[in-house]
Amino acid sequence: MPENEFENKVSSEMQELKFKPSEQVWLRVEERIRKKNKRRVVVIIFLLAGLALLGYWQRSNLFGEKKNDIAKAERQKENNSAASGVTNNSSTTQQNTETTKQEERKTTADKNINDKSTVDRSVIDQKRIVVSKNEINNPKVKIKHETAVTPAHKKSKTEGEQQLSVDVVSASSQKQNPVDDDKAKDTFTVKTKTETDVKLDEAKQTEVKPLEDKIDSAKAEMTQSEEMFVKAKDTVTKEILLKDSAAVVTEKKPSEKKWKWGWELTPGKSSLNDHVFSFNMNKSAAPLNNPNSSSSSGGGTAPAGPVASTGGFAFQAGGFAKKQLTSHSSISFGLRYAYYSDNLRIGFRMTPASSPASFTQLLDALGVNSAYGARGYHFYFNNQYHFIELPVNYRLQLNKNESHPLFLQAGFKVGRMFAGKALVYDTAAGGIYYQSKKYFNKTQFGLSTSLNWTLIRKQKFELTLGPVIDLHLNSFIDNPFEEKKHLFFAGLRTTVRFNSKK
Amino acid sequence: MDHQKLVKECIREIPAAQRQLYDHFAETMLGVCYRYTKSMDDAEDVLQDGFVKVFRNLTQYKYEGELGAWVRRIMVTTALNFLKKNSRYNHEFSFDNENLHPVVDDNPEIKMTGKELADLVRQLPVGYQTIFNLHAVEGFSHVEIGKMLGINEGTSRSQYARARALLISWIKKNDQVNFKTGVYAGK
Repeated sequence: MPENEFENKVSSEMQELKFKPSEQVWLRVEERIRKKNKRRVVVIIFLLAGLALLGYWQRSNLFGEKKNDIAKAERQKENNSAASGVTNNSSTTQQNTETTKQEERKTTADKNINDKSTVDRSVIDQKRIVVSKNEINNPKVKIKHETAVTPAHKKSKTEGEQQLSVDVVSASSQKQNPVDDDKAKDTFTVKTKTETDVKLDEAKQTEVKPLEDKIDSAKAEMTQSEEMFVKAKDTVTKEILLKDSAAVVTEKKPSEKKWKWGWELTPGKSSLNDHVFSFNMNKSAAPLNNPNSSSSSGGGTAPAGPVASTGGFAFQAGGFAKKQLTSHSSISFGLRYAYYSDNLRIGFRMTPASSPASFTQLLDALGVNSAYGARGYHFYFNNQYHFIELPVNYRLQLNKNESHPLFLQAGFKVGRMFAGKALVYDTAAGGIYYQSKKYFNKTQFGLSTSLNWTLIRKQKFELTLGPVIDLHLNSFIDNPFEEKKHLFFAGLRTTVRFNSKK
Repeated sequence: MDHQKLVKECIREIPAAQRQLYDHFAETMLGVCYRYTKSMDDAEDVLQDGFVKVFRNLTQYKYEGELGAWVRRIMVTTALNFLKKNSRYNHEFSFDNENLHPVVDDNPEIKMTGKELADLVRQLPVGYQTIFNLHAVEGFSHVEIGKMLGINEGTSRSQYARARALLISWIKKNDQVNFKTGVYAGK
């Protein structure tokens, strides 16, 4: 017999070996592959919720800038005018304000009277809704009003309906329609609570009572449903946890364990905002009362506050190495250069030559050659920041598409500012800006989230494109004269990944 | 059967396609698992784990080779992991670093069925059984086996030689018994 014939014979006999597995095997396989999907859905929902939150926050920050700038300018004007004319014209201003308010009230009343044929059905409907909500929330509380104003033409309705409308309308009418207006007297009937009203109240209560009962029973049903929902939710959660505990770790193919590398480029927009999760952008416009301020402002004029910055061009560029963790998830480490910027709309440049001697002394004390006025809005100054960043990201595939997979990426980054040209605010000389880096936290820690859609996927090459949002956790500017600022970045990331040779 | 279409449907998690893929390969793959284990229950456990891995990793299948070969490779890997992790096997699943290669020139004529041969292989100690299956049946080289099991190439060779020698002796003995009892009388 020739060599290896034994092996060949054994192999051919054994390859033919077949056994029918029991049905239980498939049932257990099916159970486990379904369970994995549930777990993935939970992770995806969690990551998407984070992305949505960051997206909402970023939208508020980036698109709220212009409004804030205008609001700030208006407020500054008011401050300036108030500071100059507070002592002289306080009584006159009060009178003027009252006159203005009266005029406004009169105008409102006129308008209401002119529109009497409609008396704002929408307002009535709206108030009815409010009343219904009140009844649902607190059915025991009855709607009682001392006065009730209603248009005369409404009296043609039935008494019950009329009374309901009367009570509802009263609240709004009291505020909107002054009763001293002559025309209003013609068209609106002012009632005080008399015996007739008491009877009407009773009648109303009789009508409202069954409604309240219905609401009570509906509330009870809702409570029961909620309890059932909570129980069902708990049961499902327990089941998922039990199944998860029995999960078996999927083994990775040797080729997947290899590191892959690539390049990324992310052009976008960066901005400086007051808080990590700030939705109120106006705070930055308010100057802080710092007792240690080097302010030399005289004449009692309040210093111009720091201006709100607007977003500027930014980009990130660098390389990364990626390692596959499971078939759908991977981790990557990178090194990149990041350029961020923002714009300040500030006043004229002030140099020692163009300023008084006291200002020259101030510039010397600050160690700068020139400064810019915080008032005026004459031109935009572009603050620029140059960083080296080390990002670490976890990437999860969201879809099943092999050629165009969609990834959700979330991660953490550490960055260090190595160069920059930026203005800082000081309350001195009525509010100035001057170039300095002393208030910058050069080391930055941040979170990053992005969606990457694979445009091209080949064996040794992959091209992805998608939006990215970076959120810096620690403050970037710790200036005692203004709110702490956090750096943000939103952009469109393009990555090119190369597979190492097998 | 169009495997490419079937795989795509399985990736989209269509239950009917998943069941079809399972039905197509289950019997053959249970045969593979049977050869590496000592009982049918264990073989079914390996089969179950293996198919879970197959469904979870289908996106990694590049349609470059036979789907059956890809599934078989996963089953073999799963079986090896099972042997390493399972307490009933792992104490036997050790390989002495022996470089003695028993020389057995015999190439006996095999008159046994696949099932009988597999049962005989299953009588071998777990280490011998595994290396015999990997080399003689799956066709892995000793270098590959060394990498898979974390042992030297020489250890794999010596273990295989011992397993082969033992198996041949059993086959011969079995043939003699069968000859005496007239099992081959009708042939």
